[in-house]
Amino acid sequence: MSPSGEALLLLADGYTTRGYHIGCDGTTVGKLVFNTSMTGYHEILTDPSYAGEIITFTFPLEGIYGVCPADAQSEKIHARGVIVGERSESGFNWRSGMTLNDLLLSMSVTGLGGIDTRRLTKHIRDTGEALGIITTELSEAEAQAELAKHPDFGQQDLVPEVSCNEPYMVGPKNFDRARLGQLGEAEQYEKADGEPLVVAAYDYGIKRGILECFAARGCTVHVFPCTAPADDLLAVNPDGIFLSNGPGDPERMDYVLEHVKRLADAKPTFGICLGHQLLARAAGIPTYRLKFGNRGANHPVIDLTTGRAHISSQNHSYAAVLSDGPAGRPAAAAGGRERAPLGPDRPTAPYPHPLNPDVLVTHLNVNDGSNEGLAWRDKPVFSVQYHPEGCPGPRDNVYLFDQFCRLMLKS
Amino acid sequence: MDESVRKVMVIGSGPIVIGQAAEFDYAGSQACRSLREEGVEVVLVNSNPATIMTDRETADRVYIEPMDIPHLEEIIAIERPDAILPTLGGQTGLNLATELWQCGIPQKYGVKLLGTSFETIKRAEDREQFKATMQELDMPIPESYIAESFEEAMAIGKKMSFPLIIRPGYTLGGTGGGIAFNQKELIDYVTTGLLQSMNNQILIEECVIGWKEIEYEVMRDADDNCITVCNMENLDPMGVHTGDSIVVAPSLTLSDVEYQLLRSAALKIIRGLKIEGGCNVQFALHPSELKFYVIEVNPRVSRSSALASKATGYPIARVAAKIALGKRLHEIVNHVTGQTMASFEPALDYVVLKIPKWPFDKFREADRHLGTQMKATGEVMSIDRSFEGAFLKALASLEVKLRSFRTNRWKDISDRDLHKFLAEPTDGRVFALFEAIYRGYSAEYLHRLTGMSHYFIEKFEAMVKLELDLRKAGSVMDSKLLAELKRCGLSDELAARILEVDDSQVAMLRHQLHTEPSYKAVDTCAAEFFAQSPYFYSSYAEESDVLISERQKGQKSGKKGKVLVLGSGPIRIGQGIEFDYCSVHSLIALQELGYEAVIVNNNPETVSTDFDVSDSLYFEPLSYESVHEIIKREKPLGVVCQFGGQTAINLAAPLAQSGVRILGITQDAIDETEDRERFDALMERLGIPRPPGGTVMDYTKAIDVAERIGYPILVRPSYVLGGRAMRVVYNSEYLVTYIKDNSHAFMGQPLLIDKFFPGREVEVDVVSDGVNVIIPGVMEHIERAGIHSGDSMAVYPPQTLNQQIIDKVVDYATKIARAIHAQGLINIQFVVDREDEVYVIEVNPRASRTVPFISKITGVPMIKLAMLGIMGDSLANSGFPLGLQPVGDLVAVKAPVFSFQKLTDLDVHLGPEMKSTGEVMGIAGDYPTALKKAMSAAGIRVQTLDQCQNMALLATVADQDKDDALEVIRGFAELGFTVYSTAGTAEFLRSHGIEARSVRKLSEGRPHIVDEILSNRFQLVINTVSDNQKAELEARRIRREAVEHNIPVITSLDTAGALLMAIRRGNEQRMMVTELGSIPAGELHLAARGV
Repeated sequence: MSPSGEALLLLADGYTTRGYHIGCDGTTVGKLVFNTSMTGYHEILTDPSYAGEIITFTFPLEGIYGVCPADAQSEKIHARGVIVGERSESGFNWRSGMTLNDLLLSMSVTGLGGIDTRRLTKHIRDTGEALGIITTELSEAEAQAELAKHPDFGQQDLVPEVSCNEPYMVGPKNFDRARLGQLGEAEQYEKADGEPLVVAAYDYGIKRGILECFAARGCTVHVFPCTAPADDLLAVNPDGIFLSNGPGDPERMDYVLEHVKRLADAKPTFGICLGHQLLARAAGIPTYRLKFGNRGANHPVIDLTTGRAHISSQNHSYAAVLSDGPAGRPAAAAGGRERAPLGPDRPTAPYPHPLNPDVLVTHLNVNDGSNEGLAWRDKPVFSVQYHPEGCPGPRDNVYLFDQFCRLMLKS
Repeated sequence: MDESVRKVMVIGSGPIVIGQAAEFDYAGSQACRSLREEGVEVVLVNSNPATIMTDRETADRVYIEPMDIPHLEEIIAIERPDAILPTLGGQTGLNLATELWQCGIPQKYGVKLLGTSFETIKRAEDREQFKATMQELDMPIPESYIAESFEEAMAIGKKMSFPLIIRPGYTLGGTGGGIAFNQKELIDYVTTGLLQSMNNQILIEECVIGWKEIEYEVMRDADDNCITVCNMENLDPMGVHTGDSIVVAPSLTLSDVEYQLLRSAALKIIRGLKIEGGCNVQFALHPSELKFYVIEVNPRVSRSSALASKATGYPIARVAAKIALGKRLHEIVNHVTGQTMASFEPALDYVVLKIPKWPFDKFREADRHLGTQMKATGEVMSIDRSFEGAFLKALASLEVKLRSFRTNRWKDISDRDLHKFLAEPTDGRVFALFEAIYRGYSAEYLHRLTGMSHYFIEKFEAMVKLELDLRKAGSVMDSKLLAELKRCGLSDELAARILEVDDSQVAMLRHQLHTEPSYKAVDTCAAEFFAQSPYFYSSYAEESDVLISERQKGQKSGKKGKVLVLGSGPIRIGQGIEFDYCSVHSLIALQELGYEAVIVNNNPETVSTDFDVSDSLYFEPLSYESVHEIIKREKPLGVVCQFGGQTAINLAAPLAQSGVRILGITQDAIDETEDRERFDALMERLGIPRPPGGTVMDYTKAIDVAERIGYPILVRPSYVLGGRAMRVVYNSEYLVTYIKDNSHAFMGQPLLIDKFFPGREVEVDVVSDGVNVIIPGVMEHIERAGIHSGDSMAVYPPQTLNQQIIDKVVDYATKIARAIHAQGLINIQFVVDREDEVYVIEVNPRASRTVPFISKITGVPMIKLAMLGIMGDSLANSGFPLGLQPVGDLVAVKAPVFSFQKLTDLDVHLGPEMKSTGEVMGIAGDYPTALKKAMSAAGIRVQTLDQCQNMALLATVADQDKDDALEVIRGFAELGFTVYSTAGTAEFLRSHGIEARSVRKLSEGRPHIVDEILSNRFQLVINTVSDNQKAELEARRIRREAVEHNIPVITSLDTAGALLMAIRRGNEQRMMVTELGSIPAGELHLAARGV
């Protein structure tokens, strides 16, 4: 039974469906994406990388364990809307402070429940990510008109929306020790003089989980707004530079490339997701938009340096190319994918990127063969497309933080 | 890949027992196919003939032999495999591998162990090593101590606080363990635990009752790549064996932090143990702290891995087999999507629920409490996009007929008792919960009583609310309420019953309102990739995923159309794995005949629900509504009901009435064999004798019929399974008691009464096309009539029947098949009296339990032939001679296997009501050897001649059996057994020249007979059932005590006689084993024949 009134979802191509509304009344427009993770709705909703997007959860039951403040990846929900198969009415877990609906209400987010999310997911998969509108108040015709007013989502630079306004600093003391322990074991690093490692990070929409991963390793992180010049970061005399995840198309962010380049030349540098794409672009490797993004907690990535495959948490609609073609490799017959899964002919070791031989391709997606990681041949710089911090998702790749800490210690 | 491994021996799991069921046939046969795909030759050993893995088509070399060291060594010596894969045969496979290793056999023949090293098995299975390993890995485990003696256990008990868990080492399904809340229970569990442990160890452990029980299925390859396939959450918190718990996948109440905490731990464990393949890790998770314990690790495929495979579409056994050969996860293709790799973690966009099937409806006297010892015989699985939908479909799959969530059993129970049932888990706890919700107990209170998570209790509340809403709306319900009912999985029938209207009325309304189910695919990836998955479930949603046949229009144009096969649902006593075996073969035969084969089934343990066995698989209840909706979608030519046991047969009538074509047997023929009067008329018309009898609707008239035909009589309700409530009755006094005690089981059905002949029983399975028949062979039961055919041993070819009898059997069978125009299989049972007169006692117009046994020993492809008949072809064209097939050189004996140790309080004596859970087969060149093999494979110790000198036999025989018993007991005495009896019997034996020692009855002071059992005086008990009720009570206790102390109990003198014959067969120098391929088999290539 719908716990509240009706809501409508409409896509520009005419796809419509009706369900019950969750969260706030009103109307919202955003890019429709889907996430296949079976846990972690709270982390996903509060991940700044979802700015401008309406998230469809493919797992049909959401809200069961409520909302635990400690799990939030940022202060607010950056997604424009949320779509679920069934929203749990109460939401109970001993860690929980409120229900999912409370959270949506408190953040003024509108959502839709009680629809066939599998049908919608297949539609996104088959036709590509597109703008959609959720409304509790407009008629179909009105919704259509409203949707038409919105520009293509690719045109907008969403990073300034989610980046911090002022620099700030966080270290191990800013986090609950018990919480850090719960997130997994971590080695402690300190410099020869006993001082903690200092990281200067660009906040393009940084997840709390990343800061926790640094804190768990004893690092102090100075976080800077996306518009900060490289000099500001260098001024804190960091041991390394971190480029965070974030929303939107990296092509809209060429204003940062010059700073990124300077920093990467000067210091050990680590990039995640958008940070990875920006490092690639700074090295002359273009990025492109995927037909639909990889969002979930089950994506296999092969590390070409070890030959081992890891399960990763992912959230991206753009990727760095692997060759000079527009989409890396020629489009294969893979259903809905630009490229084909890695076959027996896959590379067995890191190899120089065709567009910039100084950069090695180090990680590939097992399912679609896309670029998942790069490393600079002669510099302590590397980046990955996926989320080693999990939050939500597997924490199999936190070793990359250790790798970065060791690089910082070495330099 | 490891190229040195070209020939692999796979060890199966043996007979079906509680705790080890069809899931290992599913895993084993899938793994065999996977190994052969890689060009590896597979040698298969399993004593259970009712398995797909023991088909010649599944493995290259098949041995149906006792699973013990001498036989395995002989097979290794003959076959010289490069390696053994022990992780597919459950605990049995693992234990055998351990034993082989300890005996140095693999070392001697240069055979390596694949998948899991001997070291790993020990580290996971040996309690002390497990503890040390977990400590090394920094994994928390409950405080625990190992005891190897009673005294040690008591000392440990003193330093810990109750409740405590007692677990015996190396046992299956927790046999012999339990939770002790006080000193007395501690003493009990320690005693039985020490007896049943394979290594004389028990573990006494801190009890984490009430914590959440969570399982992870993990895979690892030789490169240390790891994934988790699935996690699962038990609705029943810690304290109930996971096999007896309702389980949901994926976990629902865990936040990502908790989920990843346990996931990381599971990966660390599989890495620490260096398992190459699959592994199951069980955790206890504190309900209100971020704290967990590792409870158990199974370094092999398991019941849970079968469930995880079916729940996700990820074929664990298939991948594990390839990993064992050295492949990496990212080198193995995901079979479902066809274009992604096995190194990913399935994403589900639905909820999966498993509910166990317990045998308590048949075993009313058994203790229904659930604890650490598993009691379920089978399980059902259901899939939906809502929890309620999955739950209610699972109930429908269990064939539970509800009128309301408030059931009669619980309605009148006192609040005090209700509390007890909520707090102490039994099979009925869910219904106790519904009752409590009806009575207004709060969710918080129910959570405290049951330990179940709030979420689940709220879902049960939602279901009760749904019923109340429906009642309030009455039959004027609107489309919105109807849509909600269907979203929650409420069947049309249940809705109609709640409304107290005709069953069909809600269905009619639903069709008027165009509320129809959608069908969604299980694709491992939540629709992220385009998948060719043929694996569907229903859900009331916006759209269906398309059928493959529609997607590939034109490509399969060679197909002649679709045929729907109904599976047999959960494994239960009387309807076991044999029916799944038949269903699988019918699918294969249909495909070979050029049809598209579609199956409906709901049992996750089976081969038939492996997604690539059929062209389309529907994981749905076997109810009229579900099947009918699937028929509307698939539009098959017709439906085959005869391979799915009584479950499928029961659907024939309603489907036929709605205009569905039932292929093979007609509803009229089913009725003619089941309706007493019509059957009598038929037999009379055909001139076939049958025991005199009658049918009564008024149960009090039973005595009149009994007196007319004379005692002893056989009574039973009609239309039942596995002889439920069937009894041999010797006098009117007992008949009255019987009717009084069993009227609930009659369910308004007529009562059938037959004259009982204690003669030889004979059984045939007949393949028929309606005119011609093929009879692969005649089977003779070893026990006389009076023991259910499923519980008797049987031999092929017959050993005591003359040609005249066999001719009569064949003649009668042929006449019956023709008269009812049977197309497909029919099973007929006969009894032969002292004058060699043959009577027909039962005709089942469907596949029977003996089909796999007789197919395997005769080499006749029965299901393929049956399918020819069903699809309307003539058997005369099959290339097989019509009538009875010629007999070969080998003798095969089928022996039943029981799970008595798991079912406390159940009487172990055999009678007309079936009690066995599985079967084994012994094949040899002569009868005594076949008997010996079958008995030892069934777990009855067949002593060597030298051992007999030190053996003691307790023989307590009812008065009516004394004369018959004399020769048998004399036989044991002559072999050197010391015979013990109670005074009366001992006197009788001595008067006939058998030296017998007396033991005291329970009433004759101590030490009495039970004391002697407890002190391990006897190695064998022969105990026959008396119609003297007082004597019976004592006899029952003797049997039970013996079983619980691992002493074989034989309740039929015929079985005892067979054991005698097996022992006399003596010891051999070398085991003789038979490779199945050496049995000549008729060739039938359906496709090649172009039918």
